[in-house]
Amino acid sequence: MTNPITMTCAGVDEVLLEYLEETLDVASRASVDQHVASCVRCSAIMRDIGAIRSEAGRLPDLAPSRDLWKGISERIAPTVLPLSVPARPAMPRRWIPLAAAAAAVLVIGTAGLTYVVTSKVLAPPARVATVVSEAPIPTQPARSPLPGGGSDDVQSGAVAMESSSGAPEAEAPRVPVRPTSRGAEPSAALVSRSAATSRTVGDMTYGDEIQRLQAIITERRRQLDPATVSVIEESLKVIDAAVKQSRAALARDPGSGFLVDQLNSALDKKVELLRTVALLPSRT
Amino acid sequence: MSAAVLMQSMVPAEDAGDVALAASGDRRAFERLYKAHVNRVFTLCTRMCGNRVRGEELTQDVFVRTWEKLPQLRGESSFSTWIHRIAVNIVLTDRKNEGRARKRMKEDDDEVGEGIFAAAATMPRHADRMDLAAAIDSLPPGARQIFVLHDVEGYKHEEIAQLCGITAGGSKAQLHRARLLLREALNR
Repeated sequence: MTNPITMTCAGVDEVLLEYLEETLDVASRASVDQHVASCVRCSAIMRDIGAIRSEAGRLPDLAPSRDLWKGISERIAPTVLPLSVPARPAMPRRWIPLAAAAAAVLVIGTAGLTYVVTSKVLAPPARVATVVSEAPIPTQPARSPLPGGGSDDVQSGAVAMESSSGAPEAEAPRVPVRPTSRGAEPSAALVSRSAATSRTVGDMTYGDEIQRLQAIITERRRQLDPATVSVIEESLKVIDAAVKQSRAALARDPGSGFLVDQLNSALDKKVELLRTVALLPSRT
Repeated sequence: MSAAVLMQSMVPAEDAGDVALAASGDRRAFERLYKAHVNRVFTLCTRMCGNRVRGEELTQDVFVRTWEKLPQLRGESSFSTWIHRIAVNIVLTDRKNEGRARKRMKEDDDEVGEGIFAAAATMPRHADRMDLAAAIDSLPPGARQIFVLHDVEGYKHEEIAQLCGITAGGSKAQLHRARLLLREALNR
């Protein structure tokens, strides 16, 4: 606590900050006031600081020496492409055909590579795709129930039907049915991706099924509508052509799993078509 | 009177409409706001940084930043108070970005402890008596900013402490030092 009686200039300097901030206690404030009232130096300090505070609060605003808005306006302006710049939609259009061609080449190349890899590398070594003898069955003369069906060797031997009911057998062609009675001389193609079954010609034969169906159709031919027969014949021609092509390709590349699948698919379609024909209602 | 109250009393009534328009992207409205407030902002920037050229650059920065942040302006805030606070922050950030802010503030505080008149020797002398504005420009940056904020702009020590990242006691010490330096400069 500063003694009012003994307050000196140094003492005033020491508490001046608190005095001006009005945080000094009442007694000390009174001591400062008493000293300042009798001290030229300290009273000058108080007067000058008071003037500075007063004048600072009344300082006039300044004005920039130049227009600042232009620079501000440029900085806040949205980015707009000048209209004189030519549009560029034509550029992508010119690249579309090239891009499409490149994509097509990529797809074809990838497909070809996949085919080569799957048929040459990944194919099981034990798998055998066999195109067996297509010689006609000596016990039966070749006779096709339908012109289209007769063009293919699968149906070249009209085998006597084991079932006289006329209804096609329900079992699927790929499922082993029974050993063929013709043993090593099957009349139809035997194509399988199973090594075990491929070596056994009687495990699965499309020929048996096809021949049975053809026999049924031969008997029903007169019952069918001629227009329907014509359509069936055309369909069989197409399927037989596919079978023939697949066999030719498979003969050149016996290890191709892809060609085996193609041949199986064509034969499946033929069996399915013949079954449908066999079940067609008679014409009225 | 606090800075907020001081600035609220100076808010032009027509600001509200222009603020809304400017917030929606109307540059014409923002230009009107610029014209209404540019001198206040420029004065604050120049007094705080002590350089008119730099003050002009900072003023542009303030208005660009204000434009960017206008959509964030809440309805209850005064545009004048708001842009004033943006200006203070930009000036203080500018000094910090120069890598000298904290160092100078610390040095200034240290100098206060060594003697409040020690820095007066570094202030430029003029043939004629220096006016207050020129004397303020000649103050050390830390003391100048706090003097401007307190004695010119009306901020309280607590507000200054928050803005500058110092204590309220540090703000008082800087202010006292600035006043004594100014008295010294003005009495030469």
